[in-house]
Amino acid sequence: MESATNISKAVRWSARAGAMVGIGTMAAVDEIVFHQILAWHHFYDGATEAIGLLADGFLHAFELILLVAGFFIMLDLRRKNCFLPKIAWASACLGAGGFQLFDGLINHKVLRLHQIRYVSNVLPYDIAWNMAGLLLLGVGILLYRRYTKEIYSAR
Amino acid sequence: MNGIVWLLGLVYLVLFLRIRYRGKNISWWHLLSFGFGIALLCVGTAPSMMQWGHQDIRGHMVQHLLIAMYAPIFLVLGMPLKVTLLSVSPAVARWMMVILKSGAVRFLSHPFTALLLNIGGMYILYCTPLYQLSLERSLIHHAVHLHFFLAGYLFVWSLIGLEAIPRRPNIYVRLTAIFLSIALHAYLCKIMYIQLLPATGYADRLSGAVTCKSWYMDPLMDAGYDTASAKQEAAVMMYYGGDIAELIILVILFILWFYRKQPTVRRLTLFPN
Repeated sequence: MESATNISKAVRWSARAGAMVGIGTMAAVDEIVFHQILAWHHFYDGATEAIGLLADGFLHAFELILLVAGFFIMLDLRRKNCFLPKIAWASACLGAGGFQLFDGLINHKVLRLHQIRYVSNVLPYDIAWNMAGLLLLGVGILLYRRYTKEIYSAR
Repeated sequence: MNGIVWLLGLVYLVLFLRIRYRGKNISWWHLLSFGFGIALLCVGTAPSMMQWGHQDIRGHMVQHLLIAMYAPIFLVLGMPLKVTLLSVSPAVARWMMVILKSGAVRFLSHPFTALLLNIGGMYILYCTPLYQLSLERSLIHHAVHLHFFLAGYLFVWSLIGLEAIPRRPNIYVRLTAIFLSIALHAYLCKIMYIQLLPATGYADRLSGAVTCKSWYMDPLMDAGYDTASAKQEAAVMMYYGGDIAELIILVILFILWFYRKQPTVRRLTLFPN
């Protein structure tokens, strides 16, 4: 007989694995598209170019490990028969949107690590960036709430 | 150099077959993997490859990737330590275990020591005049290649943790080491791309403050266009090749974690469908 703690554990770990993959994916998109292909900014632009590239290296390592670890935790959950793909999808959206929004608000505006692009008026970029993040986050929250409700009401 | 590699492969083959013949349980996959590693090492140390590496920085980089990054992965999966321990006499094996348990080996085989030897060695080679020196003196040349291989092997061996050694650092320590390794490797490649390192024939530019503009443009002006583009190509090869090798190590690390981690209680059909 499955207990409520087991279900909540399954939900929690599926959500964690999904969020890891979501954050990793969004960091990879940011790193590959904006840092390398477009070369708009580095992770830390406050010091020299060399420090900026070093910061990029750390972001890249972070994203690679999160992606691999997230997928292997999913495999482990599936082996234990407590993987919930819908929850993982929802929290991947949550993680991706959350990372995007965190990057846009905290890293860009509060800590001022870097701006999206070094142009005279960065506001349109900021709005587009944070709106994209907010949209993903909203979708994630909606899906997550609906799926958890589904799971708990089915018991 | 190529002869030593052949000998190494042959010794492994003989020991492996003897162990199988005695009925010990060791998978053929280990032999396959070790053979593949030896093949990569053979290509990396072949005389023509040596010559290419001596003349062309791109050749050197292919050699570097083969010897220090790809060959060690497959050699480690061949479990040469286990094979050796199984084939020597019990008395010798006991002595080997005493050495393996010693503090010196524990220090040397720690992931962070291996990281320092591996990545630190690379930084020293490419950011100092050592690379130029290794082209001029054959002794230094061989020492550099030997260090590449040994440091690469030690790094992979200490990271993926396939062979059981006493008190191996846990997965978080090893993940931190690989995290630093990926970041510092990628950084070195980009620095090499911009600065046209390793320096051949002109003064090292990393020392002293330089403004961004001259940092980008001066090396391009200094070196001829051909050598400059060759160095940049080499740096790109190192960036992508090294990254894929690190990704392979990371995946192997997690595969081993996956099979080691036996779920204590298999929760049966918690969620049917």
